[in-house]
Amino acid sequence: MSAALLEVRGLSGVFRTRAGDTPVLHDVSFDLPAGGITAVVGETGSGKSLTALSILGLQPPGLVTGGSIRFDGRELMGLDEAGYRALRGSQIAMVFQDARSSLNPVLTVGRQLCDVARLHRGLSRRDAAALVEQTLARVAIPEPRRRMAQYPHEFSGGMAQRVMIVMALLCEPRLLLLDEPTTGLDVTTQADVMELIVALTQEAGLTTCLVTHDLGLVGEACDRVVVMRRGRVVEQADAATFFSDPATDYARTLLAANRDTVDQGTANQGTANQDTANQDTEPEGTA
Amino acid sequence: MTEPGKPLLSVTGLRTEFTVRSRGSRRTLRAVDGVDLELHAGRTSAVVGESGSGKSTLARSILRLVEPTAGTVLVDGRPLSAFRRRRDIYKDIQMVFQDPRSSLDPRQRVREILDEPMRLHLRRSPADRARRIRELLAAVELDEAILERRPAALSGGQRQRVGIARALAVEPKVVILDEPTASLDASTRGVVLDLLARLQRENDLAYLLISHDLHTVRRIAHTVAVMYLGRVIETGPVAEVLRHPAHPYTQALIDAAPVAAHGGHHRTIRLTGEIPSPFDRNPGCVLASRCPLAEASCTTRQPSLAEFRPDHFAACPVTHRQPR
Repeated sequence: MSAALLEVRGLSGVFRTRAGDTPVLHDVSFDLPAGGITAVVGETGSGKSLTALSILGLQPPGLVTGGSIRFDGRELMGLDEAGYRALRGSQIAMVFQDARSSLNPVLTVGRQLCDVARLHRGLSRRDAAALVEQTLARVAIPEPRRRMAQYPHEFSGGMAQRVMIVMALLCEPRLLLLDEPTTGLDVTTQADVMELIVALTQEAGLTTCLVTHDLGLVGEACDRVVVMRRGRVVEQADAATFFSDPATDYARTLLAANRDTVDQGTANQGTANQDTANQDTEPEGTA
Repeated sequence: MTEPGKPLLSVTGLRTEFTVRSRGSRRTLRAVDGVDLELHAGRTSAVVGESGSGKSTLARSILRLVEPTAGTVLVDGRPLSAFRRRRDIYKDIQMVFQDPRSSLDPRQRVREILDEPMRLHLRRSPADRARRIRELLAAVELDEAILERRPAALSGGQRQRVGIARALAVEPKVVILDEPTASLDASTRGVVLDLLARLQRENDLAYLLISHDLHTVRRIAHTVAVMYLGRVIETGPVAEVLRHPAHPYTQALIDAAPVAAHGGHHRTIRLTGEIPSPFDRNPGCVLASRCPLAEASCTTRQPSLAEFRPDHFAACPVTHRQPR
């Protein structure tokens, strides 16, 4: 693995409210090595999304952050709005959880994508349309030209998420942040979108950061794992090491929670309940 | 066949259609298309499928939250149409909803949430009801301090426990679980599933589990029916169906489920495209347009469920012919 494209050091975050200060991020430090997929994993309230948003300066206004975030050696903390604007999209792109609510419902999908291509790449209308069509085809959207004339509500969840990925790719970013990109999608669609993310990361030489609560996705796709809990990084490791030999009790609990329920129907991992259920249902035919 | 005794809930040929008007034309959407199902005391039957498969409409049709177009539903041998008022059904069948944030009244305290179904369905004195509320809280492992709180002051796991306690308040025979853990974190999910399994053993409940998640199904269900575009395409004991899936769609679902291990796993079957519009159905197999194994006859003749192995039925003549 090559050097880190992004280094987060001692990131802290405090919500200032009238009722007092609520610290939500504590000394968060991790690296995103260039050219790989790193997962930031955690349950609700772990601070994983706030961390991702802080990278782009998109954290909610009440959150006061401290520490250091360096992108390609350059400090991002304290950047002004113009500085962030130059960064967002063209250097670091982000894909959010609910694709359909990230798109403008009253503009065609093609119009929204072409606007991005023209703004970030300075293309003519015609060149932008050609690039958008080509990029849509690349993420396996059938009949891209016809789809460009449609509105977001005419897209299924999986197709809308592909559109958001296309929007991110159009800017040719170096770092792609994905916040729960497949939550809410059906499992077969989720598997397709994840395969697409892995393929694009390799083809385009992207560095990808996947924020997720689903260790299943991490196992399938990621090279490195950062585990967060209650605003702290509790573990970080290579994916191979993490899954074979997790260092913390919390990671073991998370893995157990996933594996209890993860079973391909070939091996019986067996909680007490599962064992009784299986005895009950095992038909005579297979005994 | 191996199911003991009489079914508590028996669904035969259930069909639910919606009429959709758009741009002056009327079209019929068949959301549930001839589903048969049996539920037994102390057992869990799961219905799995992706969005648009009709699994939620099936649950809502059983509860008459939508009126089914055809078919019969018997509760303990008694047809639903014999219930004088619709709400009398809910003495016997209760539901745990997917998102407890929207299915619990935000203005009610937990005490009122649990008391209301008993006031509606049971003739009990206030003292009896208060005692029952304490029993319910103990059963779902919640502290009595929670009684004076409102849903907003509860965690996701606590809210779902309140949802479960509310469903059990009237001592139903059948509980429909609609994605009961979809809104919960992984670590909470396991605890809630274990709780549901224990309550089933203690109260001899029949569960109908609606889920898109094979992990949940594997963990608490005994039998499973896989739905696609309104039809059951495979059914049988959970371990048997997940170990030896006979329908390409079931195989694709199993393949797509992510595995929490490094490197994941290999997908053996890959469906092309996405679930088609329920309006544009061809006369043949519902999966034909996406199935890698489809033959010419698949698009013309609708396959029916055939016994593949003992107790295990699948609606795919192609895999049925293949030697196993």
